Amino acid sequence: MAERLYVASRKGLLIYERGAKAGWRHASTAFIGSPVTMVLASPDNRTIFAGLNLGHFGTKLHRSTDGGASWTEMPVPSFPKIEGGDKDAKAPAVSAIWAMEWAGRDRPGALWLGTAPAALFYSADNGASWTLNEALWNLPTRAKWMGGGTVDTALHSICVDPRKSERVAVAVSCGGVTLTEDGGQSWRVAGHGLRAEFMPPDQQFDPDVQDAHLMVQCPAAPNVYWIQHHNGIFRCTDNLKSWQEIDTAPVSRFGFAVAVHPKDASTAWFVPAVKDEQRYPADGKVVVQRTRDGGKTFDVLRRGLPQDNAFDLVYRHGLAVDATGERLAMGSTTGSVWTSDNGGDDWSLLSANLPPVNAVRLF
Amino acid sequence: MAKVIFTSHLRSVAPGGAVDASGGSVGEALAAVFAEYPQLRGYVLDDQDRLRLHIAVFVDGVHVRKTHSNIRWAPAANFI
Repeated sequence: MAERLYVASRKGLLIYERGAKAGWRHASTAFIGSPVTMVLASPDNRTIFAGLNLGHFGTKLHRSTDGGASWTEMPVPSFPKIEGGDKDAKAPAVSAIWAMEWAGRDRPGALWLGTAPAALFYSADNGASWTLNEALWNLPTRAKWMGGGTVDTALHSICVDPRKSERVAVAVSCGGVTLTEDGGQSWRVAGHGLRAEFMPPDQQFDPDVQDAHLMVQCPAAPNVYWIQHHNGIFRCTDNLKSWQEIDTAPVSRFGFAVAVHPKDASTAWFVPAVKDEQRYPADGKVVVQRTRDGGKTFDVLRRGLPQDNAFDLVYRHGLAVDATGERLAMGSTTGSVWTSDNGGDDWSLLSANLPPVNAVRLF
Repeated sequence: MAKVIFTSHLRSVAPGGAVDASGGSVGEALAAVFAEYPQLRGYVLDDQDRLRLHIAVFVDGVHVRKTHSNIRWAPAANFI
């Protein structure tokens, strides 16, 4: 079971630990006052990476190798300098770190990192240096990618296949799903079946413009992926050959976050909201939609969550499940964090007074 | 020789006081400082060596927006 909960917030990284008694307790806060957009920890919680967005002073990456007791600023991924780029307003520059994942058990100390604008970087040396994945950056279909809720495109999901670390799927807003099977040397589009309601009718199934909000892969059944998409929930059961739309979510098909049960590919959690132009919990009630049968039906989980006049929105990285599938955590834009020890049946409020939450992770 | 002073917001990565830097442009003077304070570069410039959007550079009291802006060879002071 996860022993640590990391909350990446607009005003710092809060670390909670599971003590001998039941429940989470606050252990430390790092980077207080600074926006933290993403966090990643090793299974033993000794090595931690934190992506910061300092606004005026740019994107930064910090690493701890002592469980968060001390931090070192590391080189931040950056785009290769283009000749004349200093005079070209359109030349690319990293504006945010949106995703970080370990590159596989057979690659100790190696990481993938996703950014806005949407690009993928690789480090083979525990974050000491980073290389832009040129093959993805130069993929011809990238010309069709476009920003979703942000001006920049964003690469927010990195699924490293547990069977073979060379197989990596990424998802982009708005750029659909792209897959490599050779460790990033070549890529191909893998979002067939996704549907973008915001496109003209004859282009709605174009896989290159899909606004996947988050994509996850089931560790125990890695042929199965789930996506919370801008206008719906989608599931893939055939190892990224095709996607099927799930239209049975009872509260809303709009949302940002999705988590899949690590041992049961048919179980997934979603946090619904009134759709795109408004983005608040339906009827002011914070709920979680959980399916346990692959999307045929959903439970609406609400015990312990505010059910009156709530405006908590959960961003795409604001929901996490641990390796057992029992412990969950959820953080909102209004600074609430809830946790569950029973798969989401019951939730406990950890705090209602935190800064807006960008991401939560359990390790 | 330009005299370069950085905002106190950058104190953790920048010189603590005014430093002299050679160069005929803002970019060249900054590059001279970055040679001594390499971590500072990413706080002031982006991936393409452009001034970050909200970084304000003043050359003798004049707000400049480009790293290739010229520095006048007077006793110039940059305030970043």
